[in-house]
Amino acid sequence: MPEGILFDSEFLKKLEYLYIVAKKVITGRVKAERRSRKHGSSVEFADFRQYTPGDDFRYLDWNIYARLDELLLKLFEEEEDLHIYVLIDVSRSMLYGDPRKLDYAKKVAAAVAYVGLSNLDRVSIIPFSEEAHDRLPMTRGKGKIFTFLEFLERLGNGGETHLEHSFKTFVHQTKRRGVAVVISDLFDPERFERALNVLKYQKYDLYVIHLIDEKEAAPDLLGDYRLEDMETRRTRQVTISEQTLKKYRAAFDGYLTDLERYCKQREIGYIRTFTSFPFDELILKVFRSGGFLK
Amino acid sequence: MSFLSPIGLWAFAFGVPIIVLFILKLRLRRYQVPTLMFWNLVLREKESTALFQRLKQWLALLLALLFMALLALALGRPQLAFMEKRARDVVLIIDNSASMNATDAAPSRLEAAKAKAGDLVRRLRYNDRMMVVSCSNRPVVEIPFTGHHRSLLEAIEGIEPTEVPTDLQGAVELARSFTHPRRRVERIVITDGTALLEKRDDAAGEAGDAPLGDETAPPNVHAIVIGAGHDNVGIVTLSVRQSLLSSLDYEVLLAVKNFSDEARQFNVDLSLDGELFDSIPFTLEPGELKRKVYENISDRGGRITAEIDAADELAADNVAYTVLPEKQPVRVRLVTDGNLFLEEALANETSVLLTTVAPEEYDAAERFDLTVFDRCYPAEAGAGNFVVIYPPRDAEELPWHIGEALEEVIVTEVAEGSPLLAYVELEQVLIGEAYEVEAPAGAEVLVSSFEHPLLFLEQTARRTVLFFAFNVNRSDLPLRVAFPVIIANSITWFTQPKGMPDTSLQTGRQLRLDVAEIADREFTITGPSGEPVRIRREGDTVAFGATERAGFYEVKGETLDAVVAVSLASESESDIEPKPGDIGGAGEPGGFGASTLHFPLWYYLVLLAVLLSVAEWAMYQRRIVQ
Repeated sequence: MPEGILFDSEFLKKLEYLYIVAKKVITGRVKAERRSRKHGSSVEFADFRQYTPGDDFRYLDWNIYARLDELLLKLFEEEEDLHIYVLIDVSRSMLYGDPRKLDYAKKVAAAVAYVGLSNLDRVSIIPFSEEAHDRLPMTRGKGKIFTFLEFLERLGNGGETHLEHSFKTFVHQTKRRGVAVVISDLFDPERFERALNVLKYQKYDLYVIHLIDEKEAAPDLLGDYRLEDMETRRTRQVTISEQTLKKYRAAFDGYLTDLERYCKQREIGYIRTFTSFPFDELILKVFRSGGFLK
Repeated sequence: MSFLSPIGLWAFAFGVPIIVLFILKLRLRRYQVPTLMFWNLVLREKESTALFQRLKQWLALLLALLFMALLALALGRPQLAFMEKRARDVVLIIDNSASMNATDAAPSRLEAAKAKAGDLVRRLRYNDRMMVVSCSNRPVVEIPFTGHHRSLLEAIEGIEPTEVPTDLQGAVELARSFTHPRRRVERIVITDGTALLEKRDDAAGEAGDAPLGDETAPPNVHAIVIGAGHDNVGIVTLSVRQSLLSSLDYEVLLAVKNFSDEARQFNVDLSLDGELFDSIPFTLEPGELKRKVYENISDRGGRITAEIDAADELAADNVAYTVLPEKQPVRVRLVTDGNLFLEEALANETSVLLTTVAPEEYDAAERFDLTVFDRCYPAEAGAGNFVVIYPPRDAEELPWHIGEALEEVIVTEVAEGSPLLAYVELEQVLIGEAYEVEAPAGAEVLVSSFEHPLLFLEQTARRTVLFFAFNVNRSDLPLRVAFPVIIANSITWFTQPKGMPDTSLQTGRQLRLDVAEIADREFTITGPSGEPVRIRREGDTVAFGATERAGFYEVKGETLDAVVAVSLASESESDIEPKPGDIGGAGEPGGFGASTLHFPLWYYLVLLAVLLSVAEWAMYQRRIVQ
């Protein structure tokens, strides 16, 4: 197995662990929640999976049961496979922080992809900034994880954040709906509402993983500075006092509150985390809270 | 405007780093943020006041530069022109003579003067300077020119009272000697009487304020008079003198006077070595003076103290001291074969112990105060004091060259001023026998007949000789009054005590001792304070000036043991009625202490800088400056 700087063997072990944990969670939830939208059956055998109480007995492979005394369910091509679109923000603002938000986003994306792939779901990764960039096409199979890791590893960054335009281009380029996982800092001067509406109105199951660096939420600057916007390159001369910081924190918290309220009102899955929070615990938290992968 | 410390203005150079730091501050730290959207939200309300924002930065620089400028100016100690013109040097003379001990101004005139002086000090303007001079009979600079109030007050407080008569002339002349090209000089005398000054200041010209810069006008002196009363009686004279009848006897003279406006009755107690020997009642009308003379008080001499038993406003003149010398008998040896006139004349002197010997019994080894050789002279006379009367020409070892006999001798010339011939007229003396004698070189011829000396005085290292070149017995001199007077003069002159100080001295006068005939190198003088002072002789004289206190001063050396009495005994000083003079202006100078600025200009500049700093802090707290 090839190993990248970002995705080392330790990371891969975590992925496996996440999958196992996720599988247990999903097993308890999915069987009653996952609905198929496609009716009819396919003769094309695709794969086996373990039998879980409630499955259709007609698809049990009795030969294997006779041989191995193990209940396995046959899966056919048009069995419900989830399309998971991981939209990862690669704008310049994602380079901020230590660890960089982009690196953290890549790990989260890799974890989400791994769980989806292990679950035989189809996963695609779509980087965006000003618009949706060249994506990793929809892929299925656990063995394809390294393709994902390589893609994420090589993923460059650049450009400003234009959520609405990015999501619009994504939607126009994507025929099939599914789960959209947006991993971003959501620092769009035009805010987030219209952008998220684009995905919501296009019937995507939308989840937002909001990444924040602690210094963004509470800068420790005091005095006179010339601040430079990493995306726009614009600068602004400021004199930062305690009072200024207080106002900043209030504005920032207000933004977060608005975002959270907005997602809640529209039943958009919303997870916010600091990049100092271990990504694997984030993923577990997501699964345990009943986040996506229904 | 001028600056007392121009070098302090170099502090303006601190403006350079202030400006440099300000410019560096304008080069702000750059910091990358993921987005400015939140900063723009926070600072949105200030976007419209970007100009004011910039002004605030410049305001901070302006305040800093202004603060630095105020401090730099303060360091330069600026002086405005009108301040320089108004700066003054004040010469303050405080009279601490005996009369300032009067108690009509409680607790004493001197204390009242010091209080007034303290008030003047406290009213000095910040750029004024003052010199304090105390003066009784001579000026003493207590503290030179300074503007330090505390030092001035301490110097004033340290002025001690004296019992010395007043003489402020020296102090006033000292004050007038101070001039300054740019500063106004004020001269103030605090005293209880300036009449003395008035009499002596005739050369000072008209009184009045001298305009600044007018060098032709006399320097003015302002007098502040202390005291009001004059209820005083005092001893104005207590002295010892030689008796007019006998030069070896002494008389004591006492004089008292009433200076008050009412008749006074009091006693004067006289003591000799602490023992009262007389108490004299006096009744004096206002202004009346009475005297009394005492004779033959004591042969052994002693310290005499006279004391008035009355209470008045000045106690210093109620006591006086003098020293009665011990009467020393004069040992006179008459070497003669018989001379009734001489014997009688010598025996009549009460202080003379006469020993008469025949010429052949003369012993040069025996010491006498005076030896009189009557028509004889020994081969070996020895050293000492001699009166040699007409020795025979053929006497052995006669040290004088005697010539032929003189005929028709008349006295043609008599020396004037000689103490030996005091109260004596010899021009009409008839002389029957005389001879030529060559007066030795350096001898003083007292009486001569044409070119021939008849009486001369010879003084050498070994002897002093009064030589008679005529036969006294063959003249009518013994029949004249002049004869015993000459004898008495001779005894007095030959035996006059040497190396003894004057027995009475006024306070403040210098005690001078003639120690030519005393070999002592060092002396100890102990005054009324009891503290001995060692002094060395300077040539044939020993001088001691610290006689501010009345009392007895003992002078002791290896061989010398003397006492000098020091008393106030001053009629002018005992007359304590204040005499406001008009030597320049009564009272303190006009406008003394009036000033719009009680502190130097730098003080106000620093205060302004502090207020500016506080204001800047307040503005910073309210984010008016950043």
